[in-house]
Amino acid sequence: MKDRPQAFENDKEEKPEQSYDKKIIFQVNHDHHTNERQEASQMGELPVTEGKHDINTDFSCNEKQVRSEDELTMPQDVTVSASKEEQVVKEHSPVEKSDDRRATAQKKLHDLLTSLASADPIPVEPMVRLSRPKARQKKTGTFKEQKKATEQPTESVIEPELVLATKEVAESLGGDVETTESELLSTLRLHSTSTSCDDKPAIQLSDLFVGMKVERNPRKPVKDLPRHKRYDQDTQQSSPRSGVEYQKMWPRATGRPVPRTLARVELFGTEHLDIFNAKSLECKKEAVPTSTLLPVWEVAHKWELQQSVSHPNDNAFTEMIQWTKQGKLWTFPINNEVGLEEEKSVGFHEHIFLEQHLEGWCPRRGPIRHFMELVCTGLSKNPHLTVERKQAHIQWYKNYFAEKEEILKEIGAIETSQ
Amino acid sequence: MAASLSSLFTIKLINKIPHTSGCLLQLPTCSLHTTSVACKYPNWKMIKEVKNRKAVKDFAFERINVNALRKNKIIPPAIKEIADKEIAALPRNSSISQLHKRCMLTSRPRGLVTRWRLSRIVWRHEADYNKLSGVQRAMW
Repeated sequence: MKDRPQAFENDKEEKPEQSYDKKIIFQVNHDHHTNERQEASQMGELPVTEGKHDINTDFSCNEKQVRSEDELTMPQDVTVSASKEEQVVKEHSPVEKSDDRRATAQKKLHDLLTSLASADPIPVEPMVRLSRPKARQKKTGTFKEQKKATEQPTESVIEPELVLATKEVAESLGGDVETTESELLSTLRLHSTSTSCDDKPAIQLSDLFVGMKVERNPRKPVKDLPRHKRYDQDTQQSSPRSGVEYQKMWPRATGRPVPRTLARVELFGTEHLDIFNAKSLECKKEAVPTSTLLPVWEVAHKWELQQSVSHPNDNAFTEMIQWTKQGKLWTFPINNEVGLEEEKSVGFHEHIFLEQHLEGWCPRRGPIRHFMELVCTGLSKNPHLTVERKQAHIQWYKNYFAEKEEILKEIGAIETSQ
Repeated sequence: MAASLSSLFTIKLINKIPHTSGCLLQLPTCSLHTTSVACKYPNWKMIKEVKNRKAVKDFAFERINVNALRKNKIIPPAIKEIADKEIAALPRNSSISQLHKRCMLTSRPRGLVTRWRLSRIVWRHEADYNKLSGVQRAMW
């Protein structure tokens, strides 16, 4: 921590050089040893902030270039102002020799880093020479292969002289120049043993293949290939197939997934057929005429249709389904008001207030009124009858008393002076 | 096939065709015993019982109304007498008290278990073969 003020002098010198180090910037952890920190600060990569920033603990990569640039710019201004102050304080330091050493060390480090940054990427191919099969034109068939092709950033590098040579050869041979050229280049690629220490950036093969198309032989899928076709038997063996042949027909569980060519289905490409509409189905039901000339035959026909469609149940579940449809089994969760759906629409006032039906015909006083009121209370308490049934009861009494009106008058049950 | 087809017609057309048997009357053109015995009632008495029940259902509405007039202290007695005569005029079969329960399978008039509509012998048989839900041999 004491040596830090001297590092400020170096910061000024290395501001223009920081452009090289943008790719590789390490933000050292605050909790690590201070020596490391000092070195980092001396290299000029770490912006010395003296605790003003909370320095990031992660070790950054190329991703955080922008962030690091901002952080560089920000604290630089701070450090510049601080350094100026502290330079005034300490002009002649007794550690000038150590500064020279540090400067040389820094330069060495800089050279190393620049060399690393500018170096070509190391190819993945091993040095060992193995026997390889003949070069074939690779087809861009499966997605995996395509993906592999795109993912490989490193390619076998061929020298530009060889490339020119292949072009000349192809032209001299005649015929299809492009194909011959591509074949030659592919062979070269396979047999190339070039190492990573080439400074010249070689022509990439992918650039050559940009405009070219690869030949494709349309291959049959594995299923369609004829399996052990027998030529000795003349008769056709189509329907009676043995168990072994059935097994051949079944898709076997192999390790390789069979490449399927699936047809693209566009759900909403064509117009709506409008076949399975609720409206259309209702119209169809209405349209079917029910002729009454042959009722027995129609019943038998319906029975036959039902029988053809229905099958004996496989298990108890289907049996239970059948029973629920027939109404033998209750539906779950249990509904206590099954079969009483119509009653829900009828309000309770229609069940209870039945005196309104007595208006008009029933006398206001007398035994008959008394009786009819009792009838109404009894009916209002009965939950099992429908409203129509209750009204029918009252209507029956109305008709009965209308018939017996004369007798009632003789008795004196009905007041004649109404 | 014939048996299953005939079952379609028994329920619907039983009102139109006289109750000589539980199943469809075979026309004289057909031979006898063309259908199985499964759709028939066990007894002629059973058939009579079925007719009585049907009559009870038909006249239930009228009978209850008239009986309400009879069985109260408010209506004047003259009306009650008329009501008595009216109810007596209705067919006797339409009375509930005329019904006599019978076993559904054997038509046994006595020893019935009401809930299952079976005679005690049939009930025991079915229970032993686990056909009655929730019924188990008593053991305590």
